[in-house]
Amino acid sequence: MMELEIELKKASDSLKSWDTTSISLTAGCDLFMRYVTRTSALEYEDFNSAKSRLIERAEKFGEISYKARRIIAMLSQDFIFDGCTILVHGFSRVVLEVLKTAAQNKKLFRVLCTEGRPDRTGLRLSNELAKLDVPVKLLIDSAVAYSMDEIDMVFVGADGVVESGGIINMMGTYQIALVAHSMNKPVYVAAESYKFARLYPLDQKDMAPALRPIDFGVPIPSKVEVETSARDYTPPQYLTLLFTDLGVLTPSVVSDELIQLYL
Amino acid sequence: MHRAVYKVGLQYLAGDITGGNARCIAMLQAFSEAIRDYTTPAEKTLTRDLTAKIGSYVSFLIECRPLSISMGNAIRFLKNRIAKLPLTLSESEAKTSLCLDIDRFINEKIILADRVIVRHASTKIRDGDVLLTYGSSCVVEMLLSHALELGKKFHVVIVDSRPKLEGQSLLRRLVANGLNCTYTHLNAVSYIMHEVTRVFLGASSILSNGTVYSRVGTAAVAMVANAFSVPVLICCEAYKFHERVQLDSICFNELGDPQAVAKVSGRGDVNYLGSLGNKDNLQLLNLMYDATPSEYISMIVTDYGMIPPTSVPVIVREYCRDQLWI
Repeated sequence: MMELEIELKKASDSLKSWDTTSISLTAGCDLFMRYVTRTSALEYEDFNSAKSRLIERAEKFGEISYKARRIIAMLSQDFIFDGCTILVHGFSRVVLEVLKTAAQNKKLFRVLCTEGRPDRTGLRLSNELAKLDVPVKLLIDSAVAYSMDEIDMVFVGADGVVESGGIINMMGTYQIALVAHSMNKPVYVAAESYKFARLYPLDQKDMAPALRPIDFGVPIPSKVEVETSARDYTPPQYLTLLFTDLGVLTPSVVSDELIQLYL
Repeated sequence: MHRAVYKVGLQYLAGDITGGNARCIAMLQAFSEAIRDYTTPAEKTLTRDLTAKIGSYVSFLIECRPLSISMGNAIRFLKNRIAKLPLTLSESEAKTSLCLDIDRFINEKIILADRVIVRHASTKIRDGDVLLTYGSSCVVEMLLSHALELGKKFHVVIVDSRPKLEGQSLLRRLVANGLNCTYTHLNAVSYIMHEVTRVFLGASSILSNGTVYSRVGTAAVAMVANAFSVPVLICCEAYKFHERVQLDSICFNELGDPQAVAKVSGRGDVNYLGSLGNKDNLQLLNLMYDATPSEYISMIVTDYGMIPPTSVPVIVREYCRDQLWI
């Protein structure tokens, strides 16, 4: 039994090492390990039944994660009302699922997409939404505060949800959350529960760096530095609600869930 | 009155033992000795008589100095263990079992817990940091020494205040260890805060709404840090958590010696109040503790990991069920 756990750990470590910057991969692996090995029956049964119990729990974990997006989409339907304007930042498949479901339920809403330089997430997202016949408007990243008056809510996904209840997401999320908070607009985060990570950043620089090159289109003089970080940390006081497959949660519940799972 | 308990009580009265952990350990060790020397009188049961005896010791200690919350939790644990003793045990077996329980409590909940806290919290110290601490907390001292051993380069600012001036002993030990330190008083904290990158504070207890109950002055430091967007980290063992909720510092506190506010120890000539000190309409207030609201705290480092202040009732619910503390 111990050997099996060690093998699982080795497999999990090699998966994690493929992309050390991905928080959801690390968090997902850790949570899988905890979920699968958490049963107390492991010590008492014979090996084959313990193994089948582990496989059962593993498949259940996979099922939950797969269905997570549908559950989140269903939970968030109540928050999208007719005639609302939603601001979306970054390309999250969960948020796309939410908007798809809302469009299928014949809700009337329009979406403002930030351009999402340099990853061009806004262009990809507006393409997808145009296919669903949802009215879409593209904004450059600097036009968020300008348009915040006409926005009713902000929807973002998350790379990782940290222990304080804050989120780590594409660069620009913190800025938008600050603007939305100061103008009293709700910020909703759609994230699956396997993204809950045991991290606790105190400030923007307290995370493992994830850098990616930015192409400005023109050559930059060598003496000029470029900030290439791909993501930022949004503290929990700027987030209103988290839509997860565990339900609609406030940011302080994330730590509750993690404590119950990890200890 | 057992001599060990009497000795500990006098040490509290004189102020020789201060700090939640030190007081709790000293009290538990005195109780352990008292239990070892205890014999059940004729026609009395061990559990009831011993509980009554412990109760009388506790009353004596309260006379010397009001209990801290950590001591209160430890006493509840001990009374619980006494009540749960199986009736079939002989007297000597019961006594050994209780002494073992006390040793286990001290070891697991205080000593090992401190090591876990230090390990977690030292990951939050980076090279080039300027750390600020207030007063003298044993866990924060262990943390700073450990971070120094790990080879991290940082600077420490120790903020102190009258009348206890607890920071001076911490300063002496840290400077002897080789740390770069700055020492200042509470009135300069807003001046020095713009250079500080992290604030580490200890706590006497953390209440269920995330309020930190700690040495008077801690709230001021935490609020100034918050105004300068400096993260505030509280290092506190989980056995000090309490289900009580407190909204301000006045409703539950401890009064120290009022004359200590007016006088300076070692300087008999300083007597600015003079005859005013005896007037009826003047009250000298020397509070020992204050309550820091949870919105000024960034993170609490406990032996269960790093948690946000909103998760304190979760820890109390999950791990302190029935005050068993197992």
